[in-house]
Amino acid sequence: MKYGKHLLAILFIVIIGIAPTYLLKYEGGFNYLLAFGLVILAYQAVSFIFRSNLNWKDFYTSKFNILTAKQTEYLNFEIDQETLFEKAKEMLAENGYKKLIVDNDRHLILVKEPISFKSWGENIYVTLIDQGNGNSQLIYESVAFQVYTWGKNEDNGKKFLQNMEDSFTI
Amino acid sequence: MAILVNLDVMLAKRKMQLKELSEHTGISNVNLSILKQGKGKAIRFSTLDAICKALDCQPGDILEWKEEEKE
Repeated sequence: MKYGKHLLAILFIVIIGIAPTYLLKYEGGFNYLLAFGLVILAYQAVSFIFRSNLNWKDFYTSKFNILTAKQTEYLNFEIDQETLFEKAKEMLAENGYKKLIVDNDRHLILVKEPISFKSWGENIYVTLIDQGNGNSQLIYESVAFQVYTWGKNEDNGKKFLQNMEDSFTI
Repeated sequence: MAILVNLDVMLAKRKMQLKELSEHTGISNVNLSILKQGKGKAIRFSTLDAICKALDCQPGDILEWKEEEKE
C-alpha cells in the first residue's frame, strides 16, 4: 500500500514534468508556465520568511494548505504539562534537533529543519495540552514544505515519539 | 503503583536539592523530577547506582513496595 502511494506520486511527478513540454507548444503557454512557477516560488519565499514565526502554525498545519505535507501524532502521558514540556525539549535536543523556538506560555515548541538539496525543509511543532489530574497530551505535528514526502518525515516522527516513551525508563 | 519512590525523603534527609543531585549524578533535573513523582516506567541499575552513590544510601532507602489498597 505504502509503495502504491509512492508509485502514484512518481506517476504524478512524471506527468507534471512532461506537461510543460506540451504547454509550451501552445500560444501563451509560456505565460501559464511562468505564472505557475512564480506562484510556487512566491509560496516558498513566504514560507522561508514566516516559517520561524509560531503564529503561522495554523496556516501551515491547516488541512486546506495543499502545498505542505502534514503528519499529526498524539501521545498521552500521566505527567503534568510543565514536566512534560521540559522533557519534550530535552528529548528534541537529544534527537539532534538543535534549533528550538519555544513559546513557554502556549507550551509550544517549534523545530525548524533547514532547506537542503534533499528537501524544502520541515517544521515540527510539539504542543503540550493539559488534560487535568496531572495528565497531559503531546501533539506532534510535522509540516514539510513540499506537496509529497517519501516517508522519512513520518519515520522521524514515529522515532521521536518512541524515544519519548522510552525515555520514561530512567 | 505498588512501588513507591522515596527520593524526596532521602533528599530531605541529606538536605540536598534536586538540582544538586542532578549535578552529582549527571541525571537531568527533569528525569529526577519524573522519578521523584513516581511517574517513571522503569529505573536502570546505573541510575540507581548513581543516586545511591550521591545520597550515600541503599536502593531500599529509595524504593519501597507497598500493597495497593483495594477499593
